[in-house]
Amino acid sequence: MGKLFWKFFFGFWLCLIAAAVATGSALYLMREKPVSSDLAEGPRAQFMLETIQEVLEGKGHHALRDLLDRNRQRTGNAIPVFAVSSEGEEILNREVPDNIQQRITALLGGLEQPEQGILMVTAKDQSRWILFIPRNRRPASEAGTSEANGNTPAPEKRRHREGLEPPLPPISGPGLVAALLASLLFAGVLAYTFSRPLNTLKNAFREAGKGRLGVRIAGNGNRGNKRTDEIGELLSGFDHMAEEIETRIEQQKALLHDVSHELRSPLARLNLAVGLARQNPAQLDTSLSRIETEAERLDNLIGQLLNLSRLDAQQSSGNTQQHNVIELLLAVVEDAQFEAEQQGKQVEFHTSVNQWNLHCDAENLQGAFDNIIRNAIKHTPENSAANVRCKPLGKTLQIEINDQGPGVPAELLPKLFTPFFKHGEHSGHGLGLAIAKKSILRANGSLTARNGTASGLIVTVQLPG
Amino acid sequence: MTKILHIDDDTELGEMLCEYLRGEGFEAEHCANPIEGLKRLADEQFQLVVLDVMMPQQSGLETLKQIRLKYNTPVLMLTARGDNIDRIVGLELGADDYVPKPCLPREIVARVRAILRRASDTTNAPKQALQLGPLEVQPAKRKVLLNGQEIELTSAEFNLLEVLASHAGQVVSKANLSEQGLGRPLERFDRSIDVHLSSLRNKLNLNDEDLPVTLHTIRGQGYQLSLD
Repeated sequence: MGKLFWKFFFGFWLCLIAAAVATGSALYLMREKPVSSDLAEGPRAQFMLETIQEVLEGKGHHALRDLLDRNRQRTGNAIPVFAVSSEGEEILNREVPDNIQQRITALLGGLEQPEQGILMVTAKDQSRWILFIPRNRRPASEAGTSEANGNTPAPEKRRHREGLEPPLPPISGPGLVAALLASLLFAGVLAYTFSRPLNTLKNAFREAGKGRLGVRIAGNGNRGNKRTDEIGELLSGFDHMAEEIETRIEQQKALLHDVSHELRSPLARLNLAVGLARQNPAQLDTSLSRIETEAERLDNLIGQLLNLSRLDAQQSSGNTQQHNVIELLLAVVEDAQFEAEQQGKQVEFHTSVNQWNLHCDAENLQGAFDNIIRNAIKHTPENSAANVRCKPLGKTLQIEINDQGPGVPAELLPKLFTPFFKHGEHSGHGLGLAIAKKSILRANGSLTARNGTASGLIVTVQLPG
Repeated sequence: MTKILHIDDDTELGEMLCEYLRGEGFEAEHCANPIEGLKRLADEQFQLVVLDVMMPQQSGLETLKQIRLKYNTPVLMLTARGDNIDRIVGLELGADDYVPKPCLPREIVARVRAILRRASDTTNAPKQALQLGPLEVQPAKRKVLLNGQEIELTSAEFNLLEVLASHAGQVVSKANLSEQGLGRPLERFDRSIDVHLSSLRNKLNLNDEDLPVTLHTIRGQGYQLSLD
């Protein structure tokens, strides 16, 4: 478990506890408040009290008693207005709650001023009455009925009244422990799901940093639960990156191996030529010209390698300008025709456009054309022609270079543009087409190869407009 | 006249090497294709084959395997410098020695001479057969018998066995083995002796507990062939 796990763990846990505390407090604060006053207030209560006051003042307490009694008999339920006389008797003999009774006594004794919700009324017959509506109508009405029944024990009523106050939620010890454990568990699980992939990623990066690029997260036993969220993408992103770097390094290694091998052959011949010169000084001239040839070959090979690595390094030569591709191609074809004729071969050029402007590096592009056309001349048999055909295709220019040689086996076609791939008797170092491919890609074009239906290889260049 | 066959896809190199070998007094022939090289071996008797490892038609190691199926002709391999795997595999497959490429031609000639000297040494001066328990080494016929059965060995393996058998019970240093068995001084990081002796062990079943002959490796000193 790393630091991150504990950070996540405590973070989540604190969040859970804070949320629990906040929810609890909110519930506690929002629960129905215990009644501060046990008397009904508000406009409705006020209106009812004033109506009763009118009745008392206008008609006297007998009329009020009749009114209330009638109402009770009709509806079975008394109007909740209590009227207590100065003698302390309730008009319908309903039981007055104790705490109100105390205040009424105090009020009648002149010890207190009437509070909100209590009216002191002098009736028509000069008797004094105190009017009020107890907050809880039910106990009042029950009190009324129980008074009527006369047998409900008082403690039960009190208990009932107390029960109406919302109690604090019960908090038991085991419950608290269970809640704590649950919160710990959830925090742990959450922290684990976040910190584990990050830990895996950290370890993978550490491995990769040590140069072990073969490390893959998906292969590390969690292939089964492949995540599809952002973390999953992060992990597969690492795998992708490691794979890409690994392939590139492998490619570079293979290239280096090929380069060293390719440099060895001319060196071996050079050594032999020197040996021959030593062995037989009479043949010095032949040996020297052999040495010269080999030195030239080495120079040529190194030049091509530099060209390849320059194109690989993606360094812009800075020579990109607007050029007419057809013109560039024609210059290459003319040179190639001259060379082909000396070998008893031809190069035929057909074009249906005369102008195709492209922003490109002329030297690179011409080098690419040169490599492809030379390759075609090399492989076309004597007394036959290599064909170069230009035509616009949609928004691109298509150049097809076709020889009449034996072609390349289909399974080797994908390798045709990899450095040092050689096929057939006439191949050189195997760099020409690799360089051509990179140059064409530089010009945002594409280079493909296929075998013609009749014979020979067709190399297709497509250049943007 | 000693005839040497050089199998290498590099025609120019082959021609030059043959020219050089001829200048050194050998009869040399170059063959650019290993498959044709095998045919040439069937047609004529060569005293030595110089074989390039990297060939596009068929690898030198594969060719070596095919040569060893039929012939005991000594083989000198031309391997890429720094490619140790090719060397070890080549020696295991029964090559007699190797020269890294590129190298000076006189180095090749020196190795060729060393191999030929070892191969012809015994025929010029016939020696007595050496008997070591069930193992019998006959230098005159260049034959090895184990429990009366003939065992096929390459010439390098035979030479090394002969040296060890003639010093039976004594420790022979790797330097001596190289000088006497391979005809050349031991080089730094040279694993040829170990590879040859390892395949000798396999061919003679020297790891078998029941066989009273054992080949001991004595760390830092050399090898010892002894009767238990």
